[in-house]
Amino acid sequence: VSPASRKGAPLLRHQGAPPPGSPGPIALWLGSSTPARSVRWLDGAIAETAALAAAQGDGHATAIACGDETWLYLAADRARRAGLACVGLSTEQHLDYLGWAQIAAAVVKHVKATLVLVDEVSRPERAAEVAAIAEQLDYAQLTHVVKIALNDGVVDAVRSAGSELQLCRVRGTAVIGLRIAGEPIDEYPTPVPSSALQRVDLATLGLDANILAHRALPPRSPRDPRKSVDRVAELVALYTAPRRL
Amino acid sequence: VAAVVVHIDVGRRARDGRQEVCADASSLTALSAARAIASSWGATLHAVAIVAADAAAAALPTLRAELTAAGADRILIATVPHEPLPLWASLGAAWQLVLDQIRPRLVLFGADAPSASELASRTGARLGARLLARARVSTSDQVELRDPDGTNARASDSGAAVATIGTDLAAARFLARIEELAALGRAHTNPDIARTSAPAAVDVHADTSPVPTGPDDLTDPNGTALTFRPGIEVTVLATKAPVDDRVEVVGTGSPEVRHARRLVVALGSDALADVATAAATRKLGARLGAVVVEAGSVDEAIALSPELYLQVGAAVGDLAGASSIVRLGVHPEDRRKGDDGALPAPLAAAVSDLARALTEIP
Repeated sequence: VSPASRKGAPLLRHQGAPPPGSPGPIALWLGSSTPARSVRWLDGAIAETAALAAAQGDGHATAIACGDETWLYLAADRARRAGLACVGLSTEQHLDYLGWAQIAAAVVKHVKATLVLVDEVSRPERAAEVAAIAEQLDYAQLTHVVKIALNDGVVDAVRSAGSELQLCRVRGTAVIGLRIAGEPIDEYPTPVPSSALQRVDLATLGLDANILAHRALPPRSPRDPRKSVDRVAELVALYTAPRRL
Repeated sequence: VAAVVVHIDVGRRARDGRQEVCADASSLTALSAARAIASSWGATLHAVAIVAADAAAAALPTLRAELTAAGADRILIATVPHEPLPLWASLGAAWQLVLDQIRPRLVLFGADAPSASELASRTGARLGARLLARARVSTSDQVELRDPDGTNARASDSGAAVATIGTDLAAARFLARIEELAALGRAHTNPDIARTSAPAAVDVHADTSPVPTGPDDLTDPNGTALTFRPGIEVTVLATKAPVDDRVEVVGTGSPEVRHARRLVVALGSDALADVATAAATRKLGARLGAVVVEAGSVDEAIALSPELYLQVGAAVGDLAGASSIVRLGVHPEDRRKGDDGALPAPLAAAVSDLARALTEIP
């Protein structure tokens, strides 16, 4: 990205000491279940959050995870390796994007974060949670961010917008969806219960499990892959670039 | 009766040597799908575009012709005092005014429309609606929307739904003919409409010229013949909706391969070894508008995160960020949990079979 006014300048590198207008406490929403295929995107989001926090001066940021115990241990372990605190809420519920957003927003308020980052890629359903959390908190939103840095107290974010990249400046309260991968990793140590995981429950957050249950999704059995040419073509066609002749 | 709303992204294209405003192709796809849904559900179909106030008068005739051709019952042009960008920060306030006015039961976006990724889920959150991603119209049992995960939206559902609409074969046929139908619209547009400027308040204009018929072989995704209906209301809603100044766009640039978001076709080393299969795959990729990555031409550790990764032969790059994966030329022992589709070996046959099944994509 090379805006004319800044051509040649090193963009998106954390620069200088944090001025008074820095974004403030940062939270990273890691979601409600383990990554679908790899922890690489989880690690990428955690690393970017740690870098933003370090650039801000105080180095303080909190990762937030919600879901079953195995996932909470994994999230806490990956966050701890990058020096982030981790808040976890254990639940067996399976909610839609609005249900998870209610919980995420409540934890964000609990930790008083003013900048919220979201790992958009680890699970496809997570992308919708960016907007839903922003709506809950009345924060600005920015989706599909592929690069992020703090410059003079303002968040610079490069956003993938289809056929172009947009360089955006974000000031004040915002929820930002990240699509940034970490280093490739073949194997990672099995996470174990950690005392570093700070637990919260729904009551502490002022949420009612019975009300949240209205946002529950019915359990789904895993789908077999499409095997016929027609069904595969039907799926592929959905991702075709629409074109006017 | 419920309302169905389709958000129309507005772009520019060259026509007769000059630039003119036009509706985004993906938005028109969503509108044609919405036509089938609205007809079946007995709902009114609103097409809504947000344009800069100073560009509204010039944009109106073309938008009116195209949106009418694509099946809108009513057209609402919301004007804003700034240049609209495909971001919630830029469009959100005006879009909220529109939603408050229409109170829709179903809101659709073109899945590849520039603002869909910012507006769709925020709209869903604001309405408390269910969300469908890359859905299409299904008419197997009843007319409904269904996304690749099997989530559906039906007339009998309670509550609102928001969906992004992918390109199906019917939509591809429709888009190929939209110009013919829109040309009919231009020929029958009341000049008064063309002279409409953005007013201070809401204006409603109705054109009641005779109804010309469209090409009789052109149908919507429900199989209903499409005709141009000029007696359609065009409403201009002049808003003073502000920009959310917490987000500012200060520059643009070109994306790299790793930023590909929609469809990546990966040409593995084994596929490259077969010259004919490699050529057929490249041709298919171009027709689908995909980013084609080839073994040896990109870093093997490159992290890709498209919505669909179509793997032809061996994998290229790290595909762990892909939302869906389809593999071609798969041996039975190589079937993997989590794949969304797989066509069996031999590879050459799998590629040619898929290309044949997609020949209707222009």
